[in-house]
Amino acid sequence: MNARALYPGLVTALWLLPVLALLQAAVGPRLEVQGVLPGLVLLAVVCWGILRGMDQGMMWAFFGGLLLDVFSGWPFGANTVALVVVASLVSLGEGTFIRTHALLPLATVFGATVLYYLIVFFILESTQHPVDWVAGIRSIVLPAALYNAVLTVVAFPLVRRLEDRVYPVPRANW
Amino acid sequence: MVETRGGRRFAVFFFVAAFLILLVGRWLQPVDTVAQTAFAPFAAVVSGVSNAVGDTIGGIFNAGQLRSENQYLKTQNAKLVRELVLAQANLHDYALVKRMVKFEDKNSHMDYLPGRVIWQDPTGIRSYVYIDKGSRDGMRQGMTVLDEFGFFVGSISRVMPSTSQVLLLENPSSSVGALDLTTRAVGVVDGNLSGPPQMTDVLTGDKVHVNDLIVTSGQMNLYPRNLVIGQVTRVSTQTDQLFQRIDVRPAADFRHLEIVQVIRNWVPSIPAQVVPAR
Repeated sequence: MNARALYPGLVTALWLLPVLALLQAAVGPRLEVQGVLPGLVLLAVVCWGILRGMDQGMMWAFFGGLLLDVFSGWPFGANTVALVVVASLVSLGEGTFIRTHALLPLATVFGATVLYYLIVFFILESTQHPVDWVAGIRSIVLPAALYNAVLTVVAFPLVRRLEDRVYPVPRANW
Repeated sequence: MVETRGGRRFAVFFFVAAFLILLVGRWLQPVDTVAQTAFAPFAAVVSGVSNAVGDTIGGIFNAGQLRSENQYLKTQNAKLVRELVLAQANLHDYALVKRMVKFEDKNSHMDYLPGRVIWQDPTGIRSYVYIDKGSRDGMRQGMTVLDEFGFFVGSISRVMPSTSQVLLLENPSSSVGALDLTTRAVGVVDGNLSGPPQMTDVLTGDKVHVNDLIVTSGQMNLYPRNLVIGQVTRVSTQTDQLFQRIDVRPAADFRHLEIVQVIRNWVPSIPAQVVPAR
């Protein structure tokens, strides 16, 4: 992919991701269910990665992660690394099989959320922030993965519509 | 397929850049501060609007729950009025005794500055919140933060010009000297990333009961004393262990923190040397 092809995606990320990060940090508590916050940035990054492939997914992950790091009190870069790693794995299939089944984006978001938190926990543990892994997975990771997967039902079609507007010509490999 | 293996250079660039940022993150704090300062006014507006809208919608949908809560609060209020009368009588006696023994309580002249929570940690790991008061308002690192009812929330861990980061009691980096108000057993309440805070360093021989109130002990002069931290929910004692394991339910509701109070005139004074130099 050349830089010109990345440009519309970059412009979209530049306005959409700050809005989502701001909403996640400032309005997130209002959207929480049983103490679990929605991962709006993660959802956008994963859905865009599924639809637009690795380069675009990682670009969004990088930018979205930086924004989450700005709003977060944990070591700077933890969210960036976690999201970039998640986006790289999500985009490996380049969406070809994910597009074929309606439930696969849900499963992808579920897995991506689990991986994201495991990486963040690992970074926290490595930076002198003790993590109770079993309790963390039970009380934070799995509920968040479930919540994000449910939100994908709404988020994925929205991101797909956005993609259709940003890139009116479909990708050659679909 | 449009993309080639060579076309992955962007992906590799972002991958490497992300790890570099994590490695040098400590030195990027000035950039982080600038970004947070830039986002703060937007976050204040968005959280203000969401609180107003959320309260209105919540009021409509939770009418039944609010009625029962109201009834409960009325009962509690009646109980508290009775306790207040007793406390006022005790206060009078205390003032007399204090004057007689010339005892000075540093807690009695606390200056509170209210602040609004403008955002909380977006990762879902609830350990920090940010308030709309910063160095311009006299915030300093280490200042104690209470919720709107006066329950212990945490302390200021980072100060920016117009915002401050509050380290919550729940954060694993948080350690607060604590005291069982009933039995006077002393310990430390440590934050826990994925469970209730735990009171540690309480000797197995010390008495601690479920429902006992835990308050700040004021040891090491890090926090004012007698601020309510929470209530004991579980005590686990093993005779072969030196210390007990005690779960504490925080009195402050960290999920719905909107307004906090910062104690401005209490700045921690850590002893220069805990252990005297040889």
